[in-house]
Amino acid sequence: MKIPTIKVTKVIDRDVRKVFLGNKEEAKTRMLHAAEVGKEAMKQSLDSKSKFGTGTLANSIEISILEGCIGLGDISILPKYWYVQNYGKYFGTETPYIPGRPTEDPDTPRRIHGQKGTPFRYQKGYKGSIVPMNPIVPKNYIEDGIAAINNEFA
Amino acid sequence: MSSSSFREKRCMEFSLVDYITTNVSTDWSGVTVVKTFSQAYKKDLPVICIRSSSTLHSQKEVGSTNLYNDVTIIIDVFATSDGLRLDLADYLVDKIKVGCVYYDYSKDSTDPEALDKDADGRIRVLRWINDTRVDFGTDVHDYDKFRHTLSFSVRKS
Repeated sequence: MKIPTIKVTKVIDRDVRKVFLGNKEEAKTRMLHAAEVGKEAMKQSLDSKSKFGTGTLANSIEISILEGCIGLGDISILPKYWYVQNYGKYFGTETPYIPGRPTEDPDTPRRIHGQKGTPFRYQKGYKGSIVPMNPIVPKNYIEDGIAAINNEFA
Repeated sequence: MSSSSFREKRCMEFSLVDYITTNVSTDWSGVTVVKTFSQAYKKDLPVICIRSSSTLHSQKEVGSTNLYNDVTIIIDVFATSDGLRLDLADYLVDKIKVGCVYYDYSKDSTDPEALDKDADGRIRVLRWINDTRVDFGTDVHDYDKFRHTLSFSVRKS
């Protein structure tokens, strides 16, 4: 699967350039603040749109301040499913399986794990698996992050 | 406001869906417009899915309790070919960039299935966020082969 980069810089650079016309230190502080706001918005978006939270993805979102732009998320650090989580996808029944297992609940007997709505956790190389029957609904957390950053520079 | 009236965010979403549906049915044939992502996979291609994501609130002026509500709108295009994907995406940008009429929607007291609508201003686009291909490669489900996404912030004026 081809994984493109998160292109947030193109969206905000026009506004950031305006800020750079002023004091550079102030611009950097503002950009850092905006980046933090964007990061929080992305985390909030992921948490609010997921029944069980997506801590791994939310916690791996890093910000970076570059010359004239803000970077949200480093794809070398983000889990592989960041793209599917953002844009949504239907695997269809032809997909063999997704390895992993339901989260264990100590109060539930092992034989009925997953029957009571416990969240499924992706686990690379695990022998157990599921075939997803419904489309993975997009969370659009990147767009929410960009919207929050845009709002900071409005 | 009666309890059967819809609030601003819902009305914005409805107004946009209404606007796009009307235009698409006039200018295209066989294109379906839906409001939820899962529905898109149940309709025949090509499909356009319009939905709202987050809302950002900001004060209209210092000390005021009136707020601007900026709603992020996401549009997914599920096409049957790469050309159609580009055509539909361009068409949607052309239609949306000029904004559309904002309607206040409410449930009809005599017919609960029907909606009443009254024009109450316009929806204008504040910023474009994303206009890009969603690339999952070619070895995917038919609906995900030629996908495009548009996202932008809108505000009622």
